[in-house]
Amino acid sequence: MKFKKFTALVLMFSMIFSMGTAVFAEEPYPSYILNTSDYDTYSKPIPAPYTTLTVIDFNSKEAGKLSNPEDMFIDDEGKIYVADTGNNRIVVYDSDYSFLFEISSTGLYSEGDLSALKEPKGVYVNPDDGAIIVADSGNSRIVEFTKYGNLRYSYPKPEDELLAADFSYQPIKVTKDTRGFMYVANNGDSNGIMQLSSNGEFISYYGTNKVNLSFWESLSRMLWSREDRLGTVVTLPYTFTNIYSSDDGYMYATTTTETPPQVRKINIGGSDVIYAAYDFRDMSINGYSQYNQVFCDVTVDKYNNMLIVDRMFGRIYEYDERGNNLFAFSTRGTGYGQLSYPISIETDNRGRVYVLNRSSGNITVYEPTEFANLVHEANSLYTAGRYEESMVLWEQVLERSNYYTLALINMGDILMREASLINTETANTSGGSGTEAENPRADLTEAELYDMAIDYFYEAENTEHASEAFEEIRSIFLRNHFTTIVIVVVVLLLVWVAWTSIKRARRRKYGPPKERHNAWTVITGFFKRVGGVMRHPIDGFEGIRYENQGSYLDMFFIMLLYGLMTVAGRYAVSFIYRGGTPLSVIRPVSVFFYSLIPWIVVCVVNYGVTTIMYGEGRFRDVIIGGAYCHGPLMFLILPVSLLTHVLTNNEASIYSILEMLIYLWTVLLVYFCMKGVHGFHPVKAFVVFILTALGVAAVALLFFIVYGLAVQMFDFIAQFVKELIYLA
Amino acid sequence: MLKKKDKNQDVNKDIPAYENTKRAKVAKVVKIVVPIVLVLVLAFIIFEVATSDGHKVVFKKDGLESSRQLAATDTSKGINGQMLQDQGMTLVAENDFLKLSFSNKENLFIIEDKINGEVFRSYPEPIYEQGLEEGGASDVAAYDLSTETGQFITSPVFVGYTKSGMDGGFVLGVNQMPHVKTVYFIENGIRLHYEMKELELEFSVEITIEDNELVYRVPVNGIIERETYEWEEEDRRPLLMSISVLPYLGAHRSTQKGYFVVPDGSGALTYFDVPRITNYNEYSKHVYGTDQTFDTSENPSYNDQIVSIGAYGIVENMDGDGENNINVSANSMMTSFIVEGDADADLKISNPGIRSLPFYAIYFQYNYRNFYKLQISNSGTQYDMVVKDMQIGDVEQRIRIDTSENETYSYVNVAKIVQNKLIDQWNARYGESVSLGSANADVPVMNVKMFMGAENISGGVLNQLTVMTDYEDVQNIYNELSEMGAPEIRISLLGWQNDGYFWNSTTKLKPDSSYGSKGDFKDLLKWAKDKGIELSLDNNLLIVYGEPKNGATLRNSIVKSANTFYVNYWRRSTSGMFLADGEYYIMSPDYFEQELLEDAIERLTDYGASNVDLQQLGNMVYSDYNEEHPLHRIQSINRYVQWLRSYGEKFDKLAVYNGNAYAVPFVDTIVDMPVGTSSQIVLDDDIPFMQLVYHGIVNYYSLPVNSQPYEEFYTLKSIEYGSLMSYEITEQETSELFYTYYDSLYRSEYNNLKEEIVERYNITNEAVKPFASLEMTDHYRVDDDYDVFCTEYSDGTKVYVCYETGNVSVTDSTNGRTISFDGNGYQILQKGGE
Repeated sequence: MKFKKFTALVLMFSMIFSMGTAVFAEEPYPSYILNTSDYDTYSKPIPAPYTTLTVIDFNSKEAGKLSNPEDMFIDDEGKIYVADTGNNRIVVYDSDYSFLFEISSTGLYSEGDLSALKEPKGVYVNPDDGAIIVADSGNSRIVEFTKYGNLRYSYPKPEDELLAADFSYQPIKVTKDTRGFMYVANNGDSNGIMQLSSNGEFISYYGTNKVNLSFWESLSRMLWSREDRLGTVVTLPYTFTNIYSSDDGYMYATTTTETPPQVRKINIGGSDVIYAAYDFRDMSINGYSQYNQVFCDVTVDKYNNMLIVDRMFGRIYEYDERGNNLFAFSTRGTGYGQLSYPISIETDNRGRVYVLNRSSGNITVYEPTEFANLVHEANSLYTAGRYEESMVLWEQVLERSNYYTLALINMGDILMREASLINTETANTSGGSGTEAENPRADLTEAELYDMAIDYFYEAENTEHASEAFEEIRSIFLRNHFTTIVIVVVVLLLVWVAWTSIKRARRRKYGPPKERHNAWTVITGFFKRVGGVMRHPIDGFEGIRYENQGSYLDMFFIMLLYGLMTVAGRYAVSFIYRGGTPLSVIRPVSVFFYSLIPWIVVCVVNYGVTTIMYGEGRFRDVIIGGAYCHGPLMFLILPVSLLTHVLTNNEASIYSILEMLIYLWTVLLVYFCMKGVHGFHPVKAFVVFILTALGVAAVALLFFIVYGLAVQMFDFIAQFVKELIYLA
Repeated sequence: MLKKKDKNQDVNKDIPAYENTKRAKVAKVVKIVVPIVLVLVLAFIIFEVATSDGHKVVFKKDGLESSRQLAATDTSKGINGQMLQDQGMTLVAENDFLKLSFSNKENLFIIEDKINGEVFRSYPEPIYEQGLEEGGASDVAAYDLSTETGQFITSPVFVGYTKSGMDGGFVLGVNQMPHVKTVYFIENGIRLHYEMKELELEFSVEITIEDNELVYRVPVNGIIERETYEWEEEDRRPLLMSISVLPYLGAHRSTQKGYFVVPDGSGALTYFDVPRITNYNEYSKHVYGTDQTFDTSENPSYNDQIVSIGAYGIVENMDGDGENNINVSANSMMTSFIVEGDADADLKISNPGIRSLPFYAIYFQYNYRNFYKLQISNSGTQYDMVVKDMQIGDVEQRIRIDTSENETYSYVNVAKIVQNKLIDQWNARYGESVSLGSANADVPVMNVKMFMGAENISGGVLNQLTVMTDYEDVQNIYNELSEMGAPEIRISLLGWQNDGYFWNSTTKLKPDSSYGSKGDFKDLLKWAKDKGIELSLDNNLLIVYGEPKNGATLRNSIVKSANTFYVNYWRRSTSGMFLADGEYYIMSPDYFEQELLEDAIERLTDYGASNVDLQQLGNMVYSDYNEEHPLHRIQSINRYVQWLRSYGEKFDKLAVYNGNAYAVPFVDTIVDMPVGTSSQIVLDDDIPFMQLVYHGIVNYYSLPVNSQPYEEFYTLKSIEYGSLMSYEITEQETSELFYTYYDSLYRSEYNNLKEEIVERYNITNEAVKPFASLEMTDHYRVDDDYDVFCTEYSDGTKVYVCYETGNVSVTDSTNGRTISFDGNGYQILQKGGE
């Protein structure tokens, strides 16, 4: 037996994990990461983090079809427990998805059969003894079975003085913590999660949601008395839809609200840990949709990452312990791997993700891909403080997905950490454990490391981390060049003093310099006139009106320069101060023309107001004077923007104050312009100023109304014509 | 003002009194006449608008074949050729291969294979109580003709209709509706003539046998719809929507062994004995892809592949042996192929549970009309309306029947029959002589798409284009890859046009200056030609990014839906939603042909282009209800064919995307050809059906490997499917693309990919390229227990691909060889190897 040519070329895979076999060339759902940049709230594409391993179709199983199942639990052995609500039973499958047994009874609980279930909506398995605890919703109780499905305990409706007489008990989900306390999500109970003792006695409510009041509701509460508010709808806290107790003692819960906090991570004391203020809405979806997401279940994987599932769009989101979004994937649909009506999510110790679909009664099983494994590994190493090893994996993540901003941020943070350890004994090991690889950046200086870090943050469009890195870079620079800076400043001061002294001496000796007329003096003259009005607005504006000191040419150049400076200012603001906005999205032409609109509107309105207020200014004076008001903006907007390059987020107030002063100066000039150009008394000028402001507001309002009506009118005409055409 | 008034008074003083009187009279007349004229003009406009046929769409008739008359009645049989009503099974036709019998009473067709005696029924035989195994259940009751189920199953024809031109769109079996059926003998078969009483509709279906084929024909001349009454609006009458013939022929129960062969994407199998969820809609797809003019969807679909060939197969094992995998041992096979009517056919698959029936069924539905949505106001309800014109001519579908006691059949045999049918069809329809082996043996090993640039979503100081790769980069990349050992590369330039990838296709075709000067562009093309590099310019022909320009307007250049609205082309966001922020439209094919085609070709030749990749022509067919140049789907296809011919005359090599069957005879290359099937729940396994049909006829490249989630898997899949590989690369970092509309790539930077490209180039060069011009003769799973597959070529070479992660040894029963793998990989066994 001989091969003429026998080639055996085994593909070597660079990744550390092998792939599964049941994969499609393309997954039938989007895979992305929610953008972490400050500028953009949308998503970025990533390679599929999970692939559809299988869809467990219970039609083929011994136990038969599921009917509206509501909950699922997977134990440490990978056994799957499903609350088959419509069939009044709990069904158990092994880790290969083969039927093991079911818990059901033909009897009725009301007739004394304690093992009879009615619409069980929640199931939990105690890891210690394998006891199956069921939220027997229809029978208003919690019931516990042995791991073989034999009845052990029945915990009826708890009684306690804290519970009202008309207390309605319909447990929908149940879980247990490591201390043995049971936690029950009670249907429609806005008091919180019920905490029960191990023998079913009520202890307290836990993790109660806050009332989410709208602005108007808050206002009415402030203004109206309790009697006044009688008869109005009472706003209650949102209730819980699902609960999950993690091994590290936290309670994860989903709520009925569509606004924050949709998902909570609650500590033992009932307080939110990390997800409290997080808005879990996916704006890349919500931006285009009128529907909000409905998060119906939460679970935690072996890396302590949180996975939540959204029923509305069939999306699964994974977050790490620090609240970073790792992945978003899947979609609603009936295709292989799509979610028809997700109701429950679980993971097993193989990293697989299981989603129970209520309407189709099946479980979609996802398996992590190489990419997800890589991210999980990199992130867990990072969390464990093994930074250098994590760095290597993050680099691989970036190679696989150039958009993975979390990798950029974490790599930047690692470099920052390394930089902070420079000149210490641990510099070469990045401060991690002794098992870490040698640091290839050991030869880099502190400043170089921070420079590298800030580059990562720039790429990730993350201003917060970029600001921290810049602060360090700036302090290193100041530390290294302090003497030089002082010398330069002193020298410059001396030069300035010497220059002014010489000028003064020459003036004393030879008198004022002769007036010359050339291009230079024309330019300086222009700036002197603008500067003069800025410094002496009363005289300046009166001069424009009564001494014809202003000109259309000046006006043109002031507004041109102002527009250009505005555009330049937009480009000149540092990355940190423009909120990560990429320069490529700035529209210079629009910025230029938009910057002129206030001037035009204010001038027109002011001329209208002063015409009926007997102002003496002509329209010419108003627009020229108005242009001169832009002096501070023209001169200072660019320098202040440039100043941001030496400021960090911590000094934002300096930038704000400077900006405010410029605008205040401009507003004052507007006031003096109105006074000087129209020859008003200061009080009357103030009145005119206010009326002008009101007029501008009215014009804006009118514009929006007219615009809105015009759109409606055009739409009406268009529809009318279409209807005519159609009828024709 | 006072002065002016005085002046006028002075003037008037000079005019005589009678003049003043005359002027006053004229003024008075003017004052009366002008308003009257204005009112009349306005009334006329309103009247014109209200009474004119503003959206009267008049289609041409080319492509809508209606020449076929009803077959002549055979008067030698029956009474005047008409079948008696109360007869049992009647033999209506017979030849050397088949016998066709029909029971008028039971509406049952029986086709008997004369060689083996195998019998096929037009609907499955009921399970009778007699002979039932213990525990089995009879389903005779389901065939009760007094029930809807019974009427449905036994209907030889399904009819889609609307009673009022807007409601319903119901599809029912003919037996579910009052009708008069007349059965005529015709040569080699019978004609069923249906007179649908309520629908006021008549049509005829001819069912004959020719050699070993069962043939359905629906002559369009046999379809008679009621005329519009005088008092009735034209489109409010009952209208025929669709016809399906013998839909339950070849239907199977889930207890039977076998599968359907579905040409979805690369191809798929639907096994009969796989239990599946029953509460989903039936599989339904247009042949040649969705029609964006009608098929509106709120959410984009994912991994939704195209049915590129109008065919399907049914492979069954009458003995009931075999496993539910692609190696089902089958002894009978039906191969269905559309000869006419493919452009408006839907491929349908029903699985057990749908309509409460226990069958798997596969059939084509021929759509004579479509529904469209009409929304009268912004907040109003949308109405389903039906277009007036029929969009389809004669229909002919042929079902070849093969049975054997000794041989076994598989999807490979189905593919080979379809291959022959396609070659015949290309010859008959287009006069194109295509043969096996016409693919280029010296094809470039890999297609490297170089993405050049796209416009920013907003912004930019002077130029809004984000340049990802320029002309110099193209040469540098090629040279470097060549030096690294990958010289035989096909380069495809994406986004080279003015404004980049999303260029406005109504403007003049020219290269963007951001990548280099026009001279540089020409130099690049010349450089490629001189070095013998196949450099192809990617061309978007029909999607208009932005408002139409250059004399093109929405009115004259953009596809309209039947509801008068312009058809938008929706871009998909990275998070899976349609984006409404881009003004994207679809161009009227006629407009392109009349205004742009010639200029585009001329410019490309002027630049010195030798090869072009043509978007849309191989993967996107649509209707156009623009009044100025309406087209049905088949007419669009005919336009495409003409364009492909025009391009073919001027350029060395043409490529299209995906590879719809009508385009194949005109192109040298297919790019982005699928190597997988859709994620439909009814499709169980993917197979290289399309590849079995096309391999050796045309060269093809798979989708870029670097945009696939599982690159290693995709590499092996490409090898298994005989597909040359592709990459899509940029010189700049991929993240530069984020603020452009081309934000779907996540890994494209050349520097990160070059070594990988060379590695996969070498793999393709060894495992795919040598067989590029050969026919793919077989494909099978080597061992039922392992994911190891074999693809065999006409020279006897076998390529084994293993998807198992661990060590695997399998024995190929076809040659007794044992092949061992250390995990994922491939092996090549050339002809002569034992």
